[in-house]
Amino acid sequence: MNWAIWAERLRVPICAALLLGAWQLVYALGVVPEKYFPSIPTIATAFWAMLNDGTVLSAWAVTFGRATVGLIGAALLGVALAIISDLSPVLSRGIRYISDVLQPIPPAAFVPMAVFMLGLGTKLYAFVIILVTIWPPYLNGVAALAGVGSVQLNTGRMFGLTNWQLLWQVKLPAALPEIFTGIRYAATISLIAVIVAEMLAGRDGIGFMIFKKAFALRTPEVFGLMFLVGLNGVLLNGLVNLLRQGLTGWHIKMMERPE
Amino acid sequence: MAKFIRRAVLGGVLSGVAIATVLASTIAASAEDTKVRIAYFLADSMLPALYAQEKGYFAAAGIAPEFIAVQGGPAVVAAIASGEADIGYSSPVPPINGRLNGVPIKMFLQLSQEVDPDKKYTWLVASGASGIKDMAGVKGKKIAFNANGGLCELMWCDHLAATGLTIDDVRPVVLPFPEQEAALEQGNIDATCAINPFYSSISGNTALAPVTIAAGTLHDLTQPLMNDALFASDDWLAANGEAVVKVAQVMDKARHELLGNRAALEGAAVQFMELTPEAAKAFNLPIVKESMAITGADVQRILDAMIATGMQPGPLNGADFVAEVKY
Amino acid sequence: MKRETRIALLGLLVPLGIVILWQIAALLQKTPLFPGPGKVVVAIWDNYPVILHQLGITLRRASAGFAVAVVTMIPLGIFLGRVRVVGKVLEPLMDMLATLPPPAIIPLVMLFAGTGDWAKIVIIAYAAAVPLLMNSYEASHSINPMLSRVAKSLHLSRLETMRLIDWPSSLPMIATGARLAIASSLLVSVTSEMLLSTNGIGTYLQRSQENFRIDAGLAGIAFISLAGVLVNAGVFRLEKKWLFWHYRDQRPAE
Repeated sequence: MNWAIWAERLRVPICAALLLGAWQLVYALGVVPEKYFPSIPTIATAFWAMLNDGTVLSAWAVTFGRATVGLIGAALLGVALAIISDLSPVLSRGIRYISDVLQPIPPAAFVPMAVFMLGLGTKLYAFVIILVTIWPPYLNGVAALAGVGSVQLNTGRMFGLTNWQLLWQVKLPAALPEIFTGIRYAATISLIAVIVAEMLAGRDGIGFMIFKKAFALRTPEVFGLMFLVGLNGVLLNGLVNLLRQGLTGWHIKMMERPE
Repeated sequence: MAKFIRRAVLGGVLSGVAIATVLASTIAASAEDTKVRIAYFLADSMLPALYAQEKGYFAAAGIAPEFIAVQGGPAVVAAIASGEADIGYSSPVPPINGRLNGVPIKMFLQLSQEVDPDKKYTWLVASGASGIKDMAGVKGKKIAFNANGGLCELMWCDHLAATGLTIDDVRPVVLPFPEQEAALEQGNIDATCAINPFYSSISGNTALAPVTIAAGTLHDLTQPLMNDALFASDDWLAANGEAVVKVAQVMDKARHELLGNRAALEGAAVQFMELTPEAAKAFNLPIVKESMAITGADVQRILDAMIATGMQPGPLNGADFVAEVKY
Repeated sequence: MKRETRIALLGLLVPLGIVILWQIAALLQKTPLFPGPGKVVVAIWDNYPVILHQLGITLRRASAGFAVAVVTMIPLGIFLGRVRVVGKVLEPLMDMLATLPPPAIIPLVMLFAGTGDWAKIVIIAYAAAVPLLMNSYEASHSINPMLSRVAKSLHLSRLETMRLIDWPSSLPMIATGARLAIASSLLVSVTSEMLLSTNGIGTYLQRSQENFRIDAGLAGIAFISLAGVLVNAGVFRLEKKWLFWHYRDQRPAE
């Protein structure tokens, strides 16, 4: 299975080739006029030009920075809520009511209403990102904390740990892998939320750039930016995976099973 | 234990909110008097402002403008309502709707107008494949406009009414300008309301065989019709009378320069609107009246059209929406 | 049971407190652009026939999109999970497609599917596809090796293994994926209607905002949220009913 290992190592270029190839095929078939569905070389040229004048990099930094800061904030808040829920059944129920009600609301629905109250700046982004990104870490956190085995807890108690110590030293580490699954999911959501907010109400970042290029009828640039957004997802997932390996490496090692 | 944590957490959250509020208010208070934040929806007639900024004319008049590009008229009003911006620029319909719904804003300058016979800057255009030849032909067809409650919706309503139809006789879909040409060509819509640069792109597309079925926001354009407005909140206007006059003077100077200098105009179109140099050659500022002043009568015409087409219940007084400025 | 009820009631104080804070904030602001819960209730009363009608259209679209995603993505996910190499290699592609926000792909979808129902159904299916694909992929490639060994020692045929071992053991995870997918279909159906507006609750929201009727818009949002709560509760009950064995096994020994 030598080729399989190579295929796995080269999976990013393979995926890129597949995607670009499929795009080029649709282009070659001519289903849609070239004006609206430009070829990959055209898109690449346009993207290269944006890369050279520096606009795309600064916009990318803004968007990616926002998504990352938002993700960290939302993850911390979500885990904090999960811990509060673990400590008090009443608050747990109360927070659950709120999450049930807020979760089904799409960010795109919030943005137009929220701009009137929060303006078009940082407050808006913070609000939108946290509102949609907080739930996966929170829900996974609650489930994971509740799922810590009674054997582990009793062992901890036997060692005379206080409730706080039990939380920090037994429960949280045991729950961390599941929490990270939630954070990974949240990473995607936070990126989407930032771009949606930028497209609907922003004044900078990749989302706004897409909007602006579309209004200048620069279709190749628009698609170039769209590919960049997709690439962001791969990047953000990679970062979260790295962090997970750093924080919960022991768990991954233990989970590696012989084939 | 749990009780203590609950209290601590609550306390933390509350004090956080309190600190944030205090911080926000200090930041707001430290803003300088001459700083003017202008939220705008990028359109042709906004070019003079961007050009004046580039040339340093605002600075020379003691004004430090900050330009905030946003995605549409309602977003501009939102920027004013939330205190994010001082002056807004959009088509006149969003500030009218805003004021009618409790946002205390007034329009004080107009930058562009339309008038018969050929100074018209909005178009209704159909694809050849739709078989539409004139306004009467749109009955039962799929038509598009860029946003609810905007100039384009008003345009459709007004021109439909002039042919004895209403918006209920067509199938409307709200579609952003950039997507309209593709939708026309792919047969997803039959006709749309377009502005430049989209209209010139559509009308130059031979594969589409476009048919222009109407021009000008209202069917009756014997008198000039205001096409856009600068507006601000009542409070800000009351407190910054001097700054408003200065902004008007700077805009006036920039408009004259651009109207008199073709090269400068094309350069600005390429720089600020990201037009290609070829597209910029056909570019013109949509200016009919030399004066930028707005009167109640200007707004009244739009209000009357909105009432006649059922977009707003009447009666309404145009003067309520205007703060006149002498510069 | 008594304690449960007490917790449920006391828990209500948290959202209640937030609603009160919201009302106070709204009273302090005194602008119609920041309506309090009172105004929203009035708006709900004024607009509920329209909202319910539009919401019905939206829910029909969301179900259609979800159905398309279920039919195509669960088999694909199981296939990718089974044929490991392909799945592993395609992971970055899945990551990439998962991060494309609906507003960014809408112009692309419009080119091929138009502006009508089909375009929206495609976008909804796309959004629902991600969790369904991911979860059925994860589920089928991470089946406990112990179970496979049991199957081997029982000399089960390939088909029997799939029916008796693989399917039930990946079902809970696929169910989780389905739950997430239902949630995203709802979310994205609203978004797609806001961006390609013809009708539906998303269009209603868009119209409210562009006419500065924030209270009416929030009333619409309240109904979206209510629909979400009801759908989620329904799904949860079905899951409990059909996967009772899984929940029974999951409960820690007491």
